[in-house]
Amino acid sequence: MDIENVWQQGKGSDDALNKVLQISDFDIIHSKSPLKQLRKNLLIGIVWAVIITIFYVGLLFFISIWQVNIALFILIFFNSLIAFDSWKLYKNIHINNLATHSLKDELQKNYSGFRKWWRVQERSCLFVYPIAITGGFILGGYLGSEKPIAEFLYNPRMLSILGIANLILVPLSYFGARWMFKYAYGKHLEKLQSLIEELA
Amino acid sequence: MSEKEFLSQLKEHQNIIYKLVHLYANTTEDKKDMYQEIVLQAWKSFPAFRGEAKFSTWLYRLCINTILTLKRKTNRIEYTDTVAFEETYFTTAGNEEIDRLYKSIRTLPETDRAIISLHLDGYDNKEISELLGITANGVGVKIHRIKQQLAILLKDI
Repeated sequence: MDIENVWQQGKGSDDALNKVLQISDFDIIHSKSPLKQLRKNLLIGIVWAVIITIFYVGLLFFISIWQVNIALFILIFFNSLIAFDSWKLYKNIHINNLATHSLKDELQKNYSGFRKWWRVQERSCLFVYPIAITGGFILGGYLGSEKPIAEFLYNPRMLSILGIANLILVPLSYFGARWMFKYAYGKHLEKLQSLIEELA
Repeated sequence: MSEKEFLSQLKEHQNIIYKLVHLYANTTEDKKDMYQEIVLQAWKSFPAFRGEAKFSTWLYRLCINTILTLKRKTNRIEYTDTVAFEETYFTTAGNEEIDRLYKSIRTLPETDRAIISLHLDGYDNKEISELLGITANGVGVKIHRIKQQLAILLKDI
């Protein structure tokens, strides 16, 4: 079989294509691009980061425990950093770039952008989660026991419980975050990686 | 450029969309999604089209990039004697050779399908390398390997 000749004979069209080409207003077409979905997921993440940050800022006005306030300042800083980093990635994902860049460049750009963004978050998590847990523990313990902070904090039993809580909750939160990242972006990233490997 | 002129260009080159979609769509739903996504992306990207490349090249790039980044039901269809092709895609009824060729190409890895379709549509290695972002030498090697695979597949199907 002369595949060049056979290929050239394969001219055609079908009803589905003709119907799309007869649409009078293309803006009514709902895009199913995964890039659009990824952008949407990023935006949802940014909105949540902003809401949580505002909540932390609000807490600062009501809580006068300096240990908790330091934890809140650190959390506000990291939340803002993550929201800003997500916003940068969101702005860098161009859905309508598909006709101007080569396939590999487009795939690589999206893949690297997401991996880099996740690496920053992953490392931040390991630093931020113990602070968040300790801050929450101090606040909860203080409100629950109604004892002075110093008395509460220097209680060896409480310190042991804090240590155990960190040992359990930090890995749990870390792997939970990894699972959520994989759930939201994993399939798409795997697909991008496999296509990049095919093109290598 | 008006919507009318855009549509006229698109209709003139609809064969590119048709061929590529049928190399990748695994179900009728996939096919419709791909058509819609390509036309939507083309419409949104068209204002940036400066005419530096031919419209056909521009559309080819857009189709490949759109299709390969779009979600599909499954990546590849394995053909066996008992598994029938979901539907007859080609209007060239009775031309079994075309059907066999498409079936064979559809068993290749996704990026190889793009490479061979570009090659069969007359794009040279340099153009293919620019469209896909791989080296021209790499394209040459891949085309040689794909043709060998197709020769074997066409004997089997």
